[in-house]
Formats: sequence, C-alpha cells, structure tokens
Amino acid sequence: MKAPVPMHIPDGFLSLAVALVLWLVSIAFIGLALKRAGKELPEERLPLVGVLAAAIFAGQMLNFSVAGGTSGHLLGSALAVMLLGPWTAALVMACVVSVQALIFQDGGVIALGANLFNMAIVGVAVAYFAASLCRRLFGKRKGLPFVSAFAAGWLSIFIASLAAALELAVSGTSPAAIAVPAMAGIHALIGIGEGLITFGAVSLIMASFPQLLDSEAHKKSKASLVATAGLVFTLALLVLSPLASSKPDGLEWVAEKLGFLQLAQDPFFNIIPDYVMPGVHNEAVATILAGVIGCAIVIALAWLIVKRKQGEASKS
Amino acid sequence: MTPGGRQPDVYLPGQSLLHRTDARVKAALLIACLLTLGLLPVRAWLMYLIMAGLTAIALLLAELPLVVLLRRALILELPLLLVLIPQIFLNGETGTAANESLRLLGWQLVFSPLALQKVLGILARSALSIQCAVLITATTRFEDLLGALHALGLPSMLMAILALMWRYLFVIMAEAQRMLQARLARSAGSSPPGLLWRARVTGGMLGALLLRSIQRSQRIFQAMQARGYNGRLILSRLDPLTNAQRLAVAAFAAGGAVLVLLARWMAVG
Amino acid sequence: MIEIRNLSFAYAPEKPALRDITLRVSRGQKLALVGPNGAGKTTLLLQLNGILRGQGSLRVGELELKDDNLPAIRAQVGLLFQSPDDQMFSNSVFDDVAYGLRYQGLADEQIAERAARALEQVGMHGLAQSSPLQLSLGEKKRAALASVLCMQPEVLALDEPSAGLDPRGRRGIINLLQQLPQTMLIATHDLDLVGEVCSQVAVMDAGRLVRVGSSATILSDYALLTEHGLRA
Repeated sequence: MKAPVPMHIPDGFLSLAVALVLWLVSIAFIGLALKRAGKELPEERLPLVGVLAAAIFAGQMLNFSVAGGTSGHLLGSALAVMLLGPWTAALVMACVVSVQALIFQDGGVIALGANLFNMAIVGVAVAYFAASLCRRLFGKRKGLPFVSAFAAGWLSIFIASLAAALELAVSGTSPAAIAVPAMAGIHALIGIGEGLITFGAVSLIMASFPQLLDSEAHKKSKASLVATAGLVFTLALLVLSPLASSKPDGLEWVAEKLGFLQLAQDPFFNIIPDYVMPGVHNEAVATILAGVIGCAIVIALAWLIVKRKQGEASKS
Repeated sequence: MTPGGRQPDVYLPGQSLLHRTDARVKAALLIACLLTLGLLPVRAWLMYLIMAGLTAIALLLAELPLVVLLRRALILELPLLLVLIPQIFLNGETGTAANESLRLLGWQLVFSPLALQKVLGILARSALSIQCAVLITATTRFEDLLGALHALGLPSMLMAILALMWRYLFVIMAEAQRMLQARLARSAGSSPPGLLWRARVTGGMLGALLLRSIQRSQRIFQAMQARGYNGRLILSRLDPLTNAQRLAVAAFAAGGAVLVLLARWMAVG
Repeated sequence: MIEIRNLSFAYAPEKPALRDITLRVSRGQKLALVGPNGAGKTTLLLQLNGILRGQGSLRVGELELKDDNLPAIRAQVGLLFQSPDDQMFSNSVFDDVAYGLRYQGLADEQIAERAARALEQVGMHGLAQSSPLQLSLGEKKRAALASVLCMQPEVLALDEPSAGLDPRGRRGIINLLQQLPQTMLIATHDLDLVGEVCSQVAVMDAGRLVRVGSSATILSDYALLTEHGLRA
C-alpha cells in the first residue's frame, strides 16, 4: 500500500543519531499524550483511538483525481485534531504512522521515531495551532470551521515536510539546499489536497453532527500547551529551513557543537557542502518564496471559501 | 477485496523456520539488523554484500514466493528521489574529489563520483533494510508482532489500541472501498466537475466514514463494558524465552557489531 | 428473575426512549420484545446490565441495579449485541471468548476450559484460533454467543439474534436458543423465532410497553401486530 502522502522517510536515509534523538522525543510526547488523553476519556480512550486510527488509515484510501492521472490523498493529522482534540489525535496518528511503517513499510522502522515526530507530533501540534489561530482571528464568523480545516490541513503537511527535510539535511543524506525545496515544494502542493479534503470532511460533519466539532471549542487549558508547541514548530521550521539552505555554516556549527553527531556520520563526507543550485540565485529566497506562495494560496482559498459560504447563506 | 478477507495484509502463512520462530526473537533480530545497517559507513560495499547474502539466505529460509517478497522492496516516492538524485550532478562537495564528466550520447554529463557513491550507498542500505522488514512482516502475524513489541517495552495501552486498530482496519477499509465503488458507479463518463467539488465529495465520504467509526467505537465500548472492562488492561502472557533463543539474538547482535567495527576500521585505515 | 419497574430513559431531554416500563420475566422464561424500529427495544436491553441507566428500578435475580453492583450484574446478564462485529473485537475467537473470563479474574486453565465448553455449546470448537475477519455472519453470531455463555450468566439479553442470517443460520440460532436453559429477553422482528422459542411476548412502541401476553395470543392478534408495525 503506497503511503498517501510521500513524507515517510525509509530506513537508511537518516543517521542513527538523528533517528535515536527523534525516537526519544517521540516516546516522550506520545507518553504525555497517553496520559493527557487518559484524563479526557479514561476508559473510552481505548476503543475510540483504536477504531479511529483504523478509520483514518482506511480514509487514506479515499482519493480524488487532481490532474492528469495524479490523485490527492489525505494524511489526516488536521482532521483528527479537529475531531478529537490534540492529545487523542496525536495517539491516533501515532498508530496510523506506526502501522504504515511496521506492516506496509511506508517509512522505516528505525526512522519511525522521526516519522512519528513529523506527522503525529509536529503535524498535530501545527494543525491545532492553525485551528486555534483561525478561531482567534475569525471569531464566530460563519465560515470559521471551513477556513480552519483548510488552513490546518495545509499547514500541518507543509511544516511537517520541512521537519523531514531538515532531518535529512542534518543526517547528511542530502544538503538542505536540495532537501528543503524538494520536500517543501512538493508538499506545499500536496498540502492543498489535504486542506481540501479536510475541508470537505468538516463540511459533512458540520452538516450532520456540528456538536462534535464544537465540543473541541471548549478546550482544556492544558491544550494551550499544544497550540504553543505548534506555534514554536511552525516558526522554528519556517526560519530554520531557509537558513539551513543558504547558510550551511550555521548548521555545521551546530553539528560540531553537538560533537556526537560526527560519530554516526560517514567519515567521508561533510554535512554541509557548498551548493549553488543552477538557476536559482539564492536558496533562502527560493524557500521563503515557496512558503509565502503556499500561505498566499491558503489565504486566498480560505477567503474564497468564506465568500462562497456567505453567498450561500444569503441565498437561502 | 472480500469483506471477510484480509487482502491488503502482508502476512503470508507458512510453516518455514522463519514462520515458527518466536516473534520476539524475530523482532530483536530485525532491530539488530537495522541497527547494523544504520551504523555502517555509507560506502561499506563489502558489508552490504555480506548483509545481502545473509538476507538472501533468510529469504530462502522463509519458503515463500521470492517474487512477492522482492517486489515489496524499495519504492521511492518522488520527494525522496528529488532529495537524492540532484546532488550527484551539482558542484563541489567540500573535501571530495574533483568532478568527473561523462560523454553520454553526445551529451556532456557532469557528476560527482563521491556523491554518486553516497547516493548508491544510501539506496543499498535502504533497500536491505526494507527487505529485512518485509521478510519479518511476511512471516509474522501482526498480533504476534504486537506481543513482541510489548515484550520489548511497548506500553500495554498502546498494544491494546493497536490490536483494536488491526481488528477493524480491514473492516473499515472494506467500507471505504464500497464508498469508492458507489462513487464510481455514480460518476458516469462526462467531464467531472471542478476540483473543489471533487475534494468536497471525497471529504464528505471521509467525514461519513469517521462519524460511523466514532459510533462503532461507542458500540464496541459498550460491548467491552458488558463483558467487564473497567479500564484496566489484562493481556495474555507469553512464555519466557529459552536460553537458546536469547543466545541466538545475542549472537546476531554481536555479529552485527563486528561487521560495523570492521567496516569502520577499514574505512579509516 | 428480571423485574423492571417504572423505567424511563431519554438519550436527550426532548427524546424520551423509554417511558415508564414495567415488566417481569420469571426464571427460565423466554420473553420476546417486539416492536417497530425505534420502539426502544435495544435501549431497554442496554438497561439490563447497566450500560445505560434510566430512572426507575431494575432488579436481576437478587441484585438491584446500582453503581457498586455493576460488575456482579454484568456477570449475571449476558448481552448479545445486534452487530457481532462490534462484539467480537479481538483478533481471535478464543481471545474474544476469554475476554470476559479474564476480567472475572479466572486462572488460565479455567479460562481455557470454560472457553472450550462455550465454543462446544455453539458448535464452534474448531474455530477458536480463527480471526473474526474470516468468519461468516452466522459464525460470528455464534462466537459472540459463546463469548457471553462462557461467563455462565443466568440471564441472556439478545438483540436481533437472527437478523441477516440465511435460513440455515436462522435454524441454527433458533435451535440453540431453544436448548439453552437461561432466562431470556429477546428483541426481534423475527416472528417465527418468537413462535418457536418464546412463551411470552411484550409489544413495544414509541418507548412504551403496549401489551404483554403469551406468544400464542399476541401472534394471532393481527390487528395488534399491524398497528405496531409488526405485520405489513
């Protein structure tokens, strides 16, 4: 079964040090999610997370044709967050990503820690942050859930892909100047599909069971931690990615300070080669441009959607 | 895909040595194998060869159709290819040999042999890792794999959640399949409406699937309660590993360590 | 054996599901609960082992339904859900049957023995290691029944036991229910099953108990049956 979104990193692409660190981080976060989700729905958590994980996994089969034979799929972090809240969503996505890796080899086993971090932690936190931000910006306006759905969907994919790119760069697999535009560029487009499907799903749920989404509006205060984390991830990655691409010394300096990184690296190549990509004069500009274009698309689409909603409302 | 079948499951039943080995041993061996591959220097060609040989032996021991197993190996998605390939053709990796050029059909192709080696090494490493993982999942039932992970430290709650997920994965996938077929039946021929509409319809299907699943999970919870579930987890216990099994795992791990040390010594010297 | 007095329940304030139900089922009796969809049959069954809690009183054997009695009541009342897929949530039939026994704290050998016996009773003893995914609907229903029988309940509450089964499956279930000694409360649309298995019938409609009487009387009262959607 092919992965729905090409963000899963296979084994062999990450250095063991990076993989190990991310394993530790993921274990910590998922342990925390277990506890927090346990407080929200102690006994019911078991069947809910299990079945929803199966549902999201199955839902990744639902595709829609985009153009010329390609089709869009869903990863699901944003939708899970909007339905279940951040902690339960993190658990659900962790299960989804784990089964993808363990059974279908979408993503490696050693690299699972990194993939969990990207999709179940960063993806979920960023989606939550985007949804919270939209709520704060657009208040109680009618189109709100739809805008949040699209924004959360797109941002979760885009930022997660930046994380993956930086992980590849730090591992020495690929210089940031190549990894970042490759991953981010493709996922900026794929994220649009995620945003659209998330938006479609939210539309249906709004129509039949709006209270499911509303209940997430009464967030417990602990969840603001997630929103903050999401904000931090987003900003950090948006800043680090172009930096790493254009100022390789920065990353090398960090790597040298954390001397242990050298141990797991092949002694024959450096982390940071000097690259100049033919055609593009400044990598930083290229990547920031990708991000800006992406955000512009998000905002434009969101505005269009809200306008349409208001149009429909005024007609009915 | 029949409703009762487990079509997308990767487990291929059999009675081979690999099938009969305890899942915990297989999981430990897989991890040892993957760690070894991860610790080898990128261009440890000899070691890759040795590992490939060992993998081939294991493949034969599994007594399963080889074509199936080999086919499941490296399928790289576009972004990863984009991440790897271009760096072969770009300039100046510091501390490496000068670029070489190649005449190909009248075209001058400039590439860096060191970068090429690095990429090939990564691909080799990745392909071997995936092949080993495929082998283990093809010869081990998922439920047994979960038990093995639990023995290795996976929390009981996560194990129970994953077991439930596995139970309903194919049921819900069949549901999704039926939705796709229904959509196909209704989209006869003519040019499909816009992207936004299509995405919205698909999203609607997804939303319906999730809603139904939430309701299903509530019914399952009721069924669990009816049989006494009180939040505590009671899992079946596995027999402890025999000394022979422990020894086998230790031997493999040691072997892997030797390979890595050898490779690093060879790389430096 | 079962004594329900003035039981009322609503899922939401404006949606009463059970209105003032009073019903008695004596030990060993098999009572059918019939009525159109939405009458409240499933809701009533879910009250029996405390999964849903309404107002009024409910007694099973000597136990009054209370918070601290729930584990004991759930051991006494075996509930067979409408969809066996929701009830068979483990990855093997044996695990599903053993589930309730594990929560009763039994030892592994006892569990194995009781599970084997329950599976024998329903004719599924060869399929203990199968995954529910490989079973037909009839087999799943029987496995679900085994997972309940192994706990040796005094009362069985069954929700549409013959729904969706082919004639052979139906015959199997009907025979099984006839043989089992437990007190039974069976919610069903299957009037043939009612005639063959049950001695008493309770007709429900819109959350109320419309009539209780012997199966012979009620099944021949065509006017009553038609009025409550049991005969087209």
